Amino acid sequence: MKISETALVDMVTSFLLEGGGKVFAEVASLGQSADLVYLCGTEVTFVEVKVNAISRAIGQCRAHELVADYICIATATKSISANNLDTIKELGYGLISCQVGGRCTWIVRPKKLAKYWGPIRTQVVERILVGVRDGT
Amino acid sequence: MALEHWMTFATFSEQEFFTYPTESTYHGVILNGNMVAHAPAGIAAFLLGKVNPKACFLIDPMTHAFQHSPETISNDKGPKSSIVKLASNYGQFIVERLGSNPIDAAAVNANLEEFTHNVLSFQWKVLEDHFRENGDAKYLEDDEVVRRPSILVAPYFYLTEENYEAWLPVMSKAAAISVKWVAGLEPVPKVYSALVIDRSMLQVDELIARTHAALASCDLDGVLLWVDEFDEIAASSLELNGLVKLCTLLRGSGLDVLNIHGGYFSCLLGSAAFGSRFTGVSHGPEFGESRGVVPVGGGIPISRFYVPGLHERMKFREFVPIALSKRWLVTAPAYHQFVCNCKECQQVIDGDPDNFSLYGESDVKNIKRKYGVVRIEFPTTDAKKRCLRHYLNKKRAEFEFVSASDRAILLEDLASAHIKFYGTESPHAGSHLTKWGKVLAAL
Repeated sequence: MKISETALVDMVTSFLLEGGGKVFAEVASLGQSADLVYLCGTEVTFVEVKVNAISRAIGQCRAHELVADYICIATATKSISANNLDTIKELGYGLISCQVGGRCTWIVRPKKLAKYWGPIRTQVVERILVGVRDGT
Repeated sequence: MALEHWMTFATFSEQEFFTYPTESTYHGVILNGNMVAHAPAGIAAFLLGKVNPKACFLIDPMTHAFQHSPETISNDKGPKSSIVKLASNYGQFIVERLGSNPIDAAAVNANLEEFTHNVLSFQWKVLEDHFRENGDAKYLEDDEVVRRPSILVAPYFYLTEENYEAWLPVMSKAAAISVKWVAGLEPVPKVYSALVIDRSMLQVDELIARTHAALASCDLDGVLLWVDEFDEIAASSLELNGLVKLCTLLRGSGLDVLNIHGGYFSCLLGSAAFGSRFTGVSHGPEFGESRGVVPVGGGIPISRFYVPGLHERMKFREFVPIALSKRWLVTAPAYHQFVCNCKECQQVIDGDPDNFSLYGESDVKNIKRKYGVVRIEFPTTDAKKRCLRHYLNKKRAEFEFVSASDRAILLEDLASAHIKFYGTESPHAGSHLTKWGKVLAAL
């Protein structure tokens, strides 16, 4: 049975919430939209959720480096190419695997990137928090 | 002679930029015929109130619009109203086909004399009454009120490898008719044709030669040049060399050549240092250095920053990592030394390099889509204006630089910019800067 992207987003959200903090969906950032953003204390994690299409997710994650401490790709695919896996590790991103009926597990733990640029990060995070206050 | 700097009018919201950064920046303004037909009073007010009185203008008659599939000039309700108004100025045979069939070369040929006269008459007279009726007219001398285009453009059509044999002879005849028609006008305008061509035309020497030969014998003063979707940064050396060959032939026949969608490579080609192969180059306030002949959807707007040195308008989110990795955003002096020192950047940065984020400032809006509401980020109006003012400052500087520099300086500038952005380890590895340099060095 194939898993839908919506179901995948729900699974990843539950998985992230196990660590405390808050999860926000469809966060606009630098002209793109991040599937999930996880705020915990002062740390910001961006997560791209893809049923497959890992290469595309890696491309989308590049711009998140200006905002995030951690970047992860969550996927339902069972086979990830060695090339993509190497790229994910090289870039310091995390990889979460989610399977139907199962739960999410870490395949690769993300590294703290420290590549963010303060002014942009502040703008994006403040907007998330304003959105929470406004109920949007 | 200095390269003429033209700017193309696109929307009324940008009209304040036609005297920016200085009143005398632009040699001339290009107006689209359909816009003029749709809002002549507004265009007359724009020319009287928002353009340097010494700047010239021309109206692009957009005759190629009737040659494409009707869907390309239509919206949900049928042909766009601006196109309908333009067609009504050009004659019954155009109106009859509007929205159903594109015009063909035989039909144009059969109506050519009348069609050409209508197209020229439209350009010469359409704004006449609107200048006189404009509120600002009372503050002007009589001879200042009615402005005339300094160039009239003969009917022209989009040329491809497949269709040029049918259309090129029609364009030649239209050009010859136009030259005769303007003889009685006062003041006598220049007469141009327009080469609006598919980029594949640049790759075949024979097509370049035949295109040139067809227009060189018409006694024209010049041509407007528009190569469809020609991005100078992405263009191949073959295409860049084709562009060089075409404009070299046209200039060699004594014709002015105004590239209506050109970037820095065109500016370099237009410099005296590289043989003044263009007499002028135009762009829009919102870029327009490359444009498709057939309009396509614009997509979601995103902030773009014109990167000096690269001569490329980059996505803000793509330039910031480069600037951070090179430590250009560490201090304000570093920013001004390595990125930009224009007056807009001085104002925006204001001593704090973090203020560079203002070029990427955005708002998030909820947009209704087929499957629900999505949150999409849009550049703020202020951010768009900042990016635009910075771009216009840099364009002015580029035109001045190419006009004042010799070829050694211009080539060295490209080479050093390549090293600045791509490093010294592989200075000969490819970038558009080295590609441009090679093409130009061979001239």
